Amino acid sequence: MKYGLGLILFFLPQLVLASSQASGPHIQVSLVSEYQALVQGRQNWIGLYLQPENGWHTYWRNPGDSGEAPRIDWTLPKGVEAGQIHWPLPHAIDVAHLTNYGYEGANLLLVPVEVQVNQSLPVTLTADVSWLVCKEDCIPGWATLSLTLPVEAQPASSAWAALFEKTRQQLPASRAWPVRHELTGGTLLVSIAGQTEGNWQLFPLQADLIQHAATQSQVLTEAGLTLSMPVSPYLTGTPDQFEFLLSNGEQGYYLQSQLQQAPAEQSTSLFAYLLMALAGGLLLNIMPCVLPILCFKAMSLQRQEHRRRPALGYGIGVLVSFWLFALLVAMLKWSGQSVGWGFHLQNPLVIALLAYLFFIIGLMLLGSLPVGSGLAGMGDKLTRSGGFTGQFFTGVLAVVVASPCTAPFMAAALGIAMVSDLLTSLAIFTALGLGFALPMTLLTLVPAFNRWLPRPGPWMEHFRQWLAFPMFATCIWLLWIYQGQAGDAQQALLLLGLMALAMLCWQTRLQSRGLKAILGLAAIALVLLPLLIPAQQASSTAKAPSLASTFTLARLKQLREHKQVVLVNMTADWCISCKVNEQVAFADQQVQTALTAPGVHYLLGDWTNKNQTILEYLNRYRRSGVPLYVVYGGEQYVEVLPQLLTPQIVIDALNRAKQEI
Amino acid sequence: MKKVMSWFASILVASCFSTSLLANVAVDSPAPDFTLLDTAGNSVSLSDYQGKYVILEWTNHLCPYVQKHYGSDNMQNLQKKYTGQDVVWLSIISSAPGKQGHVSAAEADQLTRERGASPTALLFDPTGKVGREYDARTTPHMYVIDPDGVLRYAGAIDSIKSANPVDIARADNYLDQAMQALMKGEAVTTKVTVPYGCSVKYAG
Repeated sequence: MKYGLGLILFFLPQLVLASSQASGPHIQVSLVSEYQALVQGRQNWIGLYLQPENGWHTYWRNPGDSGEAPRIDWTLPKGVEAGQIHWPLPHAIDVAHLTNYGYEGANLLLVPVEVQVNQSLPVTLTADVSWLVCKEDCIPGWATLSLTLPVEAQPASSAWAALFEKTRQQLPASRAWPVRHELTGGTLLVSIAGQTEGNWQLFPLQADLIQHAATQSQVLTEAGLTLSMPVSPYLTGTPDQFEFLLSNGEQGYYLQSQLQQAPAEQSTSLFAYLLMALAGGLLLNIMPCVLPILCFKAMSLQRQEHRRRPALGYGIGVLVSFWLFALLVAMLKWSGQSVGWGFHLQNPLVIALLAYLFFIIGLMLLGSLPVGSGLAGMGDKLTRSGGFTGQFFTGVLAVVVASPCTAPFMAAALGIAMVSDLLTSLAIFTALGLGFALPMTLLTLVPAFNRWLPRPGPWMEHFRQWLAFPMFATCIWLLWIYQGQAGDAQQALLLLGLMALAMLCWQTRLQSRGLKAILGLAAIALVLLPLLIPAQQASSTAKAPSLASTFTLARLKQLREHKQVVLVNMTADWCISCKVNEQVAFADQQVQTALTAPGVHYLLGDWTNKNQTILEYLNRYRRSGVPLYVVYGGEQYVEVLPQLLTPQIVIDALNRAKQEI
Repeated sequence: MKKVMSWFASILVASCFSTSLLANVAVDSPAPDFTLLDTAGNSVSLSDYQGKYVILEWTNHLCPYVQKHYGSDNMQNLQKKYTGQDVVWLSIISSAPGKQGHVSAAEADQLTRERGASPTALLFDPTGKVGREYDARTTPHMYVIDPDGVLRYAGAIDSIKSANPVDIARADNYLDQAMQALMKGEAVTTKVTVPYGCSVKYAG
């Protein structure tokens, strides 16, 4: 008993200095514990219990337009640590035209406390607490609260235990759901994958993200739930990521949103192309018209000494030739584009031409197509000269001389270059050239590599013929793409064209000139047939819904010349606002009716995989991305629509365009 | 259908908000002119002070966040410092009649005397028209307008959002920073901040 009295006396000064409760105007605050004692090595829950008077409120971690969140600054004994506040679900509290986030009525702010060091004496937790309590007017308050608890192994529940349990059950949980956001003209769109509709509201953790007082609306797209709300006037720039609480008043989740970005250019696929080009270049060396020269050269090298410089001369010669070829291709491409040719895989005509190209390459590799091999003999003489200049031109001429064998590879690289930009095609041709020059350069530098060189023989022929099959496989892939773009009937025409190509190769072997001419002409006609027809019916596409046709500059130009109303929709699978607009505006019955009206055309451009034609079109409207909606009335009238659409916006714009014609 | 309607409604609301809140006041754009009555009943317009720096201070003497800056003499010191350099300081009360902070002209003059405040003028905005036009949200909410009438700063008085006067010394004073930069002929680095304090007690 004496001992007990002593303890009370010992703690008395602290109890006088700070109690576990305090009251301010319109509020009572207290520091409470779930159990009557703390447990060492386990998470203990301590709470700041705020009890504002009826009609008054306190705040959440982000107070919204005004107000201030309660703050707890701990003073703790050594070995005792307190964590962050676990905030209960807040509510939006409207004050005039502003909105706050907080709690109307009593709320318990939970704080995890850990006791690490073995404590035999009771532990005193001291908290400097500040709060703001508001009705319309606000009153701040401060207090130093303290709570002294013994450390026990099996403590009994306190009177607050039930409240702790209930509060914990309603705490929001962190979720790693994929969330993406987009900022479109002052509106923040947040797309939450897998979430369905409900009374969801977004509570941002930062004060300067959204207009707290504005209504948040939701739209369900195939990607999930999309919330939209106006951004805060205090937001500068576009945040790459932000955290928020998604709550329906009963359940809440902490989520993190990442800025939705167009998928980055696939550098891996470019890298793969470069590796393939390098391998292709290496393969060129064992072609029937190259390998014998290479072996002859290797033997001559063993007899004479070469310095480093001439050795590099060969490689440089090869590279320069390949670069010149790449530049030539690029110039061809530019001149083609200037007359309205789009070299991209979205164009069925380009796919058809590529199918022909790869089929011919296959036939050449199989040996079905006669190609002059007389040139190959010249190489022998040329490779004998020495010195840098000699070596350089040896390299250049090796490329030219070997062309009967290298043509198929060059054609394949040309095919890729036609659909890529200049830098990519230069890189591909460089890799091809490096591969081609590598064995000879290595041989010149280190003649000992000669041992590893395969011996020429009939296997070279077989290997070359085998290479025809990857070409045919590529051709099949192109035919499959073509079918998706142009349809079954059109694909059958293209297959006929391929057959005609084979016939063209075969008819050269005939004796009768008359028969040759007839067959040749018939075959050429069949080959041209699928190339000429799609120009008239390039409208069907696998991607677009039935009422839209694929966007091409030529089609747009043609429709405008014919005084038609055209709506151009530039979209992409990864664009949140595009999906929202498709759901809200384009799926609307009235809009669909308006788009199918006579004289109205709906062109859809798909920017999902990016292409040069659409990029140029976007740039024309000073955009570098989607969505972009443009309405044309003949050649005179152009109207760019906002990035967030309603059915009325679309219908009105179409009507205005009609009147302008 | 209901969802779709609410979607349209929110887009409309969003566009209204973005025009009314964002378009009227934007930093580095001309500040909208206004005319209000001072405590002597004279009309005071922003355009009267063309060619001078003008600081706008939204205030409410009963707001704890305003009391933080007046009780510590922080606000009065800033007023003295800048009105002494020919800067115009306009304190504006947008509290509606019957709401916290609404005072008569006599009470306002008395408050100014008692607190040792020295604004160029104290203006009444009982309808909240000017406050809403400037999107003044809290008391205090500070604005800096340059001699060309261009808004150069809008936001909090300083960087620590609290009602505790102890925090004043530790905080970065955004108003002071903006004024110092401008008077040196430099650009303001922190141009817009989220204001903190009590909500402005508007009518309605």
